[in-house]
Amino acid sequence: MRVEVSNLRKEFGRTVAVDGVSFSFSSGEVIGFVGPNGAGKTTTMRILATLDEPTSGDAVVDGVSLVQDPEEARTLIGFVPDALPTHHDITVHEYLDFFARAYRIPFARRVRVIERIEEFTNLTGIRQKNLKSLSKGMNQRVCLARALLHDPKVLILDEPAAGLDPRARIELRELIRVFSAQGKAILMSSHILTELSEICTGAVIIERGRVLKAGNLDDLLVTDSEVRTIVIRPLGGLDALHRSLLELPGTRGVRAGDDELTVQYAGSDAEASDLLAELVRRGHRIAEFHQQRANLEQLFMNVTTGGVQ
Amino acid sequence: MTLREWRERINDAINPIVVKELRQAVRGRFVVTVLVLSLVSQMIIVIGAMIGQRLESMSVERTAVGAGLFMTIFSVLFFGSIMLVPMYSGFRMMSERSDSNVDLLFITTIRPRNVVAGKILSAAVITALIFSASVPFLVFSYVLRGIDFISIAIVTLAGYFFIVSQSVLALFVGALPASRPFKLLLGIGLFAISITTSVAMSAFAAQFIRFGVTAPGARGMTGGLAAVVALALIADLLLAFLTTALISPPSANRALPIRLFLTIMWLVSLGIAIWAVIDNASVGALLVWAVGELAIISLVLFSAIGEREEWGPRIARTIPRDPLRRFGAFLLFSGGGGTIWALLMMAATIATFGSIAYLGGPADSLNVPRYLMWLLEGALCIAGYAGTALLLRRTILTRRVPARATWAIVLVLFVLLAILPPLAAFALEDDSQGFGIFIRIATIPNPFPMTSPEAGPWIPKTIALCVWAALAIVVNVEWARTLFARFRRPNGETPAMEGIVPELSAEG
Repeated sequence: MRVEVSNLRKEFGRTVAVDGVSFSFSSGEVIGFVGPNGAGKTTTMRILATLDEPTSGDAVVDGVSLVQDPEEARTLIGFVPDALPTHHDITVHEYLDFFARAYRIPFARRVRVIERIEEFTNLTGIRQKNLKSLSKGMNQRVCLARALLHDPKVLILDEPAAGLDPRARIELRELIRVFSAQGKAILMSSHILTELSEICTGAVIIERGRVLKAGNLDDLLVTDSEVRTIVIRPLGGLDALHRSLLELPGTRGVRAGDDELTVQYAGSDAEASDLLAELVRRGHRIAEFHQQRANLEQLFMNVTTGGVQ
Repeated sequence: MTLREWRERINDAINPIVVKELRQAVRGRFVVTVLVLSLVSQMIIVIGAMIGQRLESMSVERTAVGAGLFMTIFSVLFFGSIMLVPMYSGFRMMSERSDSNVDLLFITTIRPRNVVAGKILSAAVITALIFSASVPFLVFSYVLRGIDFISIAIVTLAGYFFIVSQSVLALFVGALPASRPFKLLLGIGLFAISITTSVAMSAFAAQFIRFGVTAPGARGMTGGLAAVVALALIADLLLAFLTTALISPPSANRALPIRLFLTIMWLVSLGIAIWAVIDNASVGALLVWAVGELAIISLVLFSAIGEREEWGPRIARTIPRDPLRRFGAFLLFSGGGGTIWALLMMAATIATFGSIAYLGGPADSLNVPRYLMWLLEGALCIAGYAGTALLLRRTILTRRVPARATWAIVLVLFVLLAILPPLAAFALEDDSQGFGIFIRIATIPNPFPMTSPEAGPWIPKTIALCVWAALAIVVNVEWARTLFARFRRPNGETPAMEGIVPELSAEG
C-alpha cells in the first residue's frame, strides 16, 4: 500500500500555501512532516485527509485518487487534526458511536469496535464524560480513537503530541509504534524533532509550501553530513588523546567533555577505522569509539530558513 | 429474522446525523431553555384565559375564547420555533462547513445526501418535539369552544411544515461556499423575510379558524393551501438537492440530480397547471407555471455557462457509449452541456404555453398573444445575455475571469445594458405621453415586461432580441460542439501515477 503525493498545489487567493509538493511513502513507514509555522504542513495534511481540495495536483492512496474519488479514499484514511473536536453536549462514547455510524460500521460490529478502541486508547474510564470537559491530552486521545474506528490503512496526524504531558507523549509514541507494526502508513507532523527522530523512518521537510528534503531518515542524516562526529571515551589520558587527535589528518576539531572527546572528522568509514587503529597503536586505551548520528534538529536547521508564506 | 436482528437492522438504518443532533439538542441549554420558556408562557396564557373566562359574564361572546386562545398559543409556539429551529440548523451547518474548520463528519463515508437528509430530519424531529409539548395546550382551546379539531390540526400542521421549510432554507444558506459574514447577512435578510411570511401565515391561520374548515368558501382556501404546500415542497426538495450538491466533492456529478429533479418537476408542475387550467377555465395557472419555470431555468443557464468543460475520470467513466444516451448525459451531467439543457427547456416551456393557450386553452380575459410575446422576449433576452457572457469569457476575458465566475459577466452586462440605459432614457425623455422611442430602444435588452399587455407588441424589439439571441447562440455553437466531442468515456483505464513520483524524494 502506497501513498503518492504528486505536485500538490493549494492557493488561497494570491497566497500559495502549498506549491508543487511531491513525496510518497508506504505501509509500515512513519514519516515525519516537519517545517516552520506557516510552511504548508497543515494545508497539505488537510488535503490528504480530503478536508480541502487542492488547486492542482493529486494524491493517490492505494490506487485511489483523493481528487477523483474522495469518498473511496476516506475509507483508507484516518485523520487527527491539530484542532480538537468542538462538539457540544456529547459524551466521548456518543461521539465515537456517531463516527462509527457515519463510517457505516454495522451495529453488531460497532459495539465491539468502539469498546476495543476505547480500551486501546485508554478511554474506557472517561467514556461517559462530556467532550467539552476533557483535558487536551484526553481530547487528543478521543481524536485518535475516532481516526481509528474504521481501521484505516493510512494515518495522518497533525501535531498529535502538541500540549501533551510527558507520560501522554510516551504513550502516544508507543501507540504509533504499534500502528506502524500493524502495517499502517503514518504521516505525522510535529515541532518536537527529537521525538520524531525516535519513531520516524523517514522525513519530509517543507518550507514556504515547497519540499526541501524528503527521504529515508538514515539517508537524510548521513548524506547531509560531510564531516562526521565521532565520540571517543578513553580509560584515562584524556589530554594525551586530545593532542594525538589534533596531530592526525582528517581531524577538523576536538571538543573535550568530562570523560570523552567529540571529534569532527572528515573521512570515510575505512579512514575512521584507521584512526581508531592509530590511536590504539599510540597506546591510548579506548573504552568507547562511535559515530554520533546527526539528528533531525540539525538537519532541519541546516535546510530551513524560517520563512513563511 | 429474530427480534434482535430486526433491532440491529433498524439501528443501522437510522441516520447517524439524526442520532447525534437529537442527543445534542436534548442536552443543549439553548433548545431546552427555549422549550421551557415556550411551555411556561403557554401555561400562563391558558391560566389567564381560564381566569378571564370565569370573570366574564355569560353575555360575552364565549365562542370566541377557544379560537382566541388557540391563536395566542399557536403564535407563541410558532414564533418561538421559527426563532429556534431554522437558526439552530443554519448555524450548525455554517460552523460545520466553515472554511477554516470543516467538520470531520465530512471526511467520513457518510454520503452528502444522507448528511442533508439527516439534518432536515433532525430539524423536523426537534420541531415535532416542541410542537408535541404544546399540543395539550392547543387542544385545550377546543374545550373552551370556538374552534374545531380539524382547524387545529390543519393550522398546526401548516405551521409545522413552514418551520421545517425554513430550516431547509437555513441549511442551504449555511452550506453556501461563502464567507461567514456574507452567510450571516444573507441569513439575517432571509430571516426578516421569514418573519414577514410568518405574520402572513398567522393571518392565514386566524382567517382559517374564523371561517372553519366546513364554512362556505373554505374549499377555495383549502385549494390555495394545497397549492402553497405543493410549491413549498418543491422548493424544499430543490433546496435539499442544491445543498447536497454544495457539500459534494467538486469531482462528483453534482448537477445530475438537480437537472433530473428540475426536469421531472417541470413535467409534474405542468400537469398540475393543466389541471388548474381545466378546473378554473383560465390559463392563468399555466402563465404562472411558465414564468416560474423560465425564472428557474434562467438561473440554471447562468450557472451552466460557467461549468466545467472537461470531465475528470470520475464522471468520464460513467458517460454512456450509446450516442443517444451520451447526448442525454451531456445535457444532464455536470458541465457546459447544461447550457443546451437550459435552452431546450426554455424553448419547451414557451412552446408548451403557446400550444396549450392557443390550441386547447379556454377563452378567458387574459391577453394570451401578448403574454406569449413577453415570455418569448424574456427568454430571448436571457439567451442573449448568457451567450454574450460565455463568448466574452472564452475570448477577451479568458485570462481575467475564471470559468466558474461567468455569471458575474452576466451581472455586469445586465447592469450595463438593462439598468443604466433605461435610467438614462427616462431621465432624458418625457414619458408623460407613454414610452417614447428612446425609452423603447433603451428597454430592448430588458428581460422584464416594461409595458402593459394592452400596449401590444413592439415588433422591432422582438426582431432585435431574436437577432441578438440567434447571434449569441451561433457564436457558441462551435464551443458546444467541441464540448460534446470531448464528452466521451475514455477507452483505456485512468493512467496510474506509478513512476511519476519518486519514493520519498523532494519534488518541490
